[in-house]
Amino acid sequence: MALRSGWSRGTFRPGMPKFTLDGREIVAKDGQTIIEAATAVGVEIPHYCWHPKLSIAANCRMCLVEVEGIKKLQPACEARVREGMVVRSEQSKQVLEARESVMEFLLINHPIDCPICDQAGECKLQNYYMAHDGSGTRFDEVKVVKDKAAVLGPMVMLDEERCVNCTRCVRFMDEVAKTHQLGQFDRGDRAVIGIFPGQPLDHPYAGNTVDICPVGALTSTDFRFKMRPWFAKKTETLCAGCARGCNVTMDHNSGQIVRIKPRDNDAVNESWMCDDGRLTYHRVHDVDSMITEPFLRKDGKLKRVGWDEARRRLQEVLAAYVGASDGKLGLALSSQITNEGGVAFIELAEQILQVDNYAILGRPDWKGDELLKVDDQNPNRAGLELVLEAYSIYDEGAEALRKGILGGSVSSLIMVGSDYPSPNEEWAEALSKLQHLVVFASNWDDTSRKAEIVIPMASHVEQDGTFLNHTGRLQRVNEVIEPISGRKRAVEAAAFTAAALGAAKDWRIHTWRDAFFELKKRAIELKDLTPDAIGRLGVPLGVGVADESVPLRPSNSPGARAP
Amino acid sequence: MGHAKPVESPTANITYRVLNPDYGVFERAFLPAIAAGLGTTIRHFFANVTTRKYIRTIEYPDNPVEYPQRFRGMHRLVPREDGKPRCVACFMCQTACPARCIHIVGGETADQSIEKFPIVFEIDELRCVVCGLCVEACPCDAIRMDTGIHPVPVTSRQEGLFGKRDLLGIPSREERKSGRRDTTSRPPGTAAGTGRKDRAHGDGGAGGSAGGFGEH
Ligand code: SF4
Ligand code: SF4
Ligand code: FES
Repeated sequence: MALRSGWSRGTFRPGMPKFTLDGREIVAKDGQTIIEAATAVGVEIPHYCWHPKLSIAANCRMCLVEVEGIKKLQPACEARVREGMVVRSEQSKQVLEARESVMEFLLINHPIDCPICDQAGECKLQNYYMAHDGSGTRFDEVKVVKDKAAVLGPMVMLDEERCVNCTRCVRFMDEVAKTHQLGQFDRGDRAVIGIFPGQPLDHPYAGNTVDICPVGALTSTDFRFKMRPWFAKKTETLCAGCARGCNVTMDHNSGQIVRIKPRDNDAVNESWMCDDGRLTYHRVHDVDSMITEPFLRKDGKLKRVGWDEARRRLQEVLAAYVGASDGKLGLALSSQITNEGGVAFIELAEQILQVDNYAILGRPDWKGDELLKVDDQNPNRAGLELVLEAYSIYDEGAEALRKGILGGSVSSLIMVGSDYPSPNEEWAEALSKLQHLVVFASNWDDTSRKAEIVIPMASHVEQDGTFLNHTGRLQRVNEVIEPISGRKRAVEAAAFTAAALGAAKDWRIHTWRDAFFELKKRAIELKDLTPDAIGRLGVPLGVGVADESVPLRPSNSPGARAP
Repeated sequence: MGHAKPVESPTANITYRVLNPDYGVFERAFLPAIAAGLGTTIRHFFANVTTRKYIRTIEYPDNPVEYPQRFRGMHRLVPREDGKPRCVACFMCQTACPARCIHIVGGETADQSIEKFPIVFEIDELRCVVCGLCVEACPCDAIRMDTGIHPVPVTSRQEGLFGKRDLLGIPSREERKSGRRDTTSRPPGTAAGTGRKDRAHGDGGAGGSAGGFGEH
C-alpha cells in the first residue's frame, strides 16, 4: 500500500521498479527478475537451476515465492519485478511448504551417498535439506538405479543418480561453450544428463560444468576423491596460465594445492576458467621437475649445494659486474614473475650491478580461443613492460638477446624465471656460448639445466604480488602456500643476491610491498594505488589494449542481465 | 576448617578461591605424622608376610585382569564378506578425530556399488586418545573399538602407525572368544545392507552406497 501511495506522490522512477520482499523495500533494475534483485542486495532465495550467468530454465521450482495478487506461487528466477509488487519468501507459510515438498521430491530417488560424494559440504541439496526440509522419507518404493560413474569426458564424470536435472550444465555447454555437447535424455524419474554417441565432453572449458552443478552429479576427474571439501583452505589469487589472469580460488591443505576454481569477476572471467588453467597447479607440485635447493656447476655437472655455498659462488661470478663492467651482462625477466619481483631485480641491476642488456622473456605463445584463453601464455608481460618503462629501460626482446649472445655482445646472463619463447635448440645453442649463466627458477627445464648457478625461486602461488593482465588490469596475486622447502620469493631472491654482493646494508626492498611502493614512485599509472586498494577484483590502469568485453555472456538469453 | 582467600588472576577477570588449610601445632611438628605413617608400613609389612592381605600387585601377564565391557581398546576395521574393508573412505572419522591420528587416502573401485575405498587407512595409535568419536562418526559401521586390547608397546613412532591390513586383522572381543570372524554383524538399530544392491531390492530407500546414512 505504501508503495502505491509512493507512486501517486510521484516518486516512481522509470527503469527502477521498487518492490517489497518479506517486508523489505528493494529497488530493482528494469527487467530484473525477483531472484536477481534479491541477490543484488544479498538476500538468498533458494534455487538450483538459476545461475546468474546462464539463461533461465525455471525447472527446479525451488525458488517459488508468493506474489500478492497471484494465486499460484511464482518462480522467483523467472518472474520479473514490477513496480509495487509485494513478494513473500521466508515469511510465507505456503512458500516454506512448497520448498519442503520440492526437497522431498528431489530426494525421492537421490542415493543419499553423501559420505562418498565429493560435493558433500558444499552441496545445495545438503544445505537446503538442513534449512528447508529436515524430514524423513515417506517413499516406500524402489529407488531408480542409474549409472553412478559415467565418464563424460577427460575432465568430467557424472553420477546420474545424484543429478537433479537442473540443466545448468546443458545450458553452459549451449550458451557459453556453444558446442552443445550435453543433453537431457529420457523423461520423468528416468531423465538423465548425457553426451551424444561418439562425442565425449571434451570442450576445453568443460570443467566449469562441475563447478556449477549444484549437487554432486558432475565431479572433476582431477579432484575426484582427493579431499573432502571441508579440509580445504581457500585462498583467492590469479591463474597464471595466460595473460587474461582469471580470478581463481585455490583450495589447499598442508602446503598442497588440490584444486583451482574460478572466482567471479565480471571484468575478467565472469564465473569461468579454462581447463588448462585448472591444472596449472600440477607443475608447482611436480616432484620430478621442482627445484628446491641451490645447484652449482662443478666439473661440468650441476651439484646440489647449501645456501652459503651458493651465496659465495654468486659473489665470485657477479663481483666483476659491481660498479664497473665490460658492458656484457644481461638480465632476462620471465613474464611469469610478478611486477614486484621484476622491480626488485631491476633495482639490483641498476643500483648494484652494471647490467647493460635487458629483455623480457616468457613462454611461447599457445593458441588462444574465443572464450577466455589468450595467445600469450604469460600472465604478466604487460606488467613487466610497465616496470621497464617506469625505469626507462629498453626491452631488447628475446630474439635480440639471443642474437646478442651469439654475436658476443652479451657474455653473462642473469635469468629470473627460466622461460624462453622460441624453439629450444636455438636457445640452447645461444646459452652454451655464455660465460656465466645464473638462473632463478622453480622448475627444471632446458634453460635451468644449462645454468652455472641455479637458485630455487618460488612460483606465483608461493608469493604475493601483482600481475597486469593483457587488458591493463592490475590484479593481486596472493601467497597460497608457503614457499616449498624454503625457496626464495622473487623479492627475497633479489635481496639474497644483493647480500651476496655485500650490499645488504643499502638494500631497501625486503617485501613485495616495498617493491610496490618503489614502483609507485616511478610509474605514474600507479599514482593513487596502494596494494590494498587493488582489492579482490583488481583495477584497470588504462594502459595496454582497451578493456575488451568478456565474450562469454550468452547474448540472447534473458539471464544475461547479471545482478 | 580453614579460611578462604580470594586471589585475583592476573590474566583474566576470574576470581579463584584458594583454600589454605589452617595447620595446628600438632600437624606442624611432623613427627607424630611420621610415626603414624611408619606404623602403617609396619602393620602392612607384618600382615603381608603372614597373610598377603594388602598386596595389590597384578601379576601381569600371568594373571591378567578382566577389563570392564566398557573398555574400548584398539580400533579395528570391519571387513566385508570378501575380506576387504567395509570402509568407504568418507573421512568422517578423520574429521571427527580430535587427536588427528587418522590418515586416509581415498581411491576409486570399479564396483559401482562401492565406488570409493581407502587406498591407505592409517591410525597413529600413539596419538589416539581412545575417545571413540571415529566409531560414532562412521556411517558404515566400518571402524569399531570393540577389541578390548591395548596397542602393543613399540620402540619407534613408525611402529605405532597401524595400516589397513593391521587394522583389518584385529579380531573383536567376541570373535576372540568364539574363535571365528563375523563379517555381517551390525550393532542393533542400524540399517542392514552395505550397498545400493539392497536399495534396488526394495530396501525402502534407506541406505545408499554408504549404507544406512541419512533418512531419505
Ligand atoms: S548434472 Fe548437475 S548441473 Fe547438470 S542437470 Fe544434473 S544437477 Fe544440474
Ligand atoms: S568413518 Fe567409517 S567409512 Fe568413513 S572413512 Fe572412517 S572408517 Fe571409513
Ligand atoms: S531456480 Fe527458479 S525454478 Fe529453479
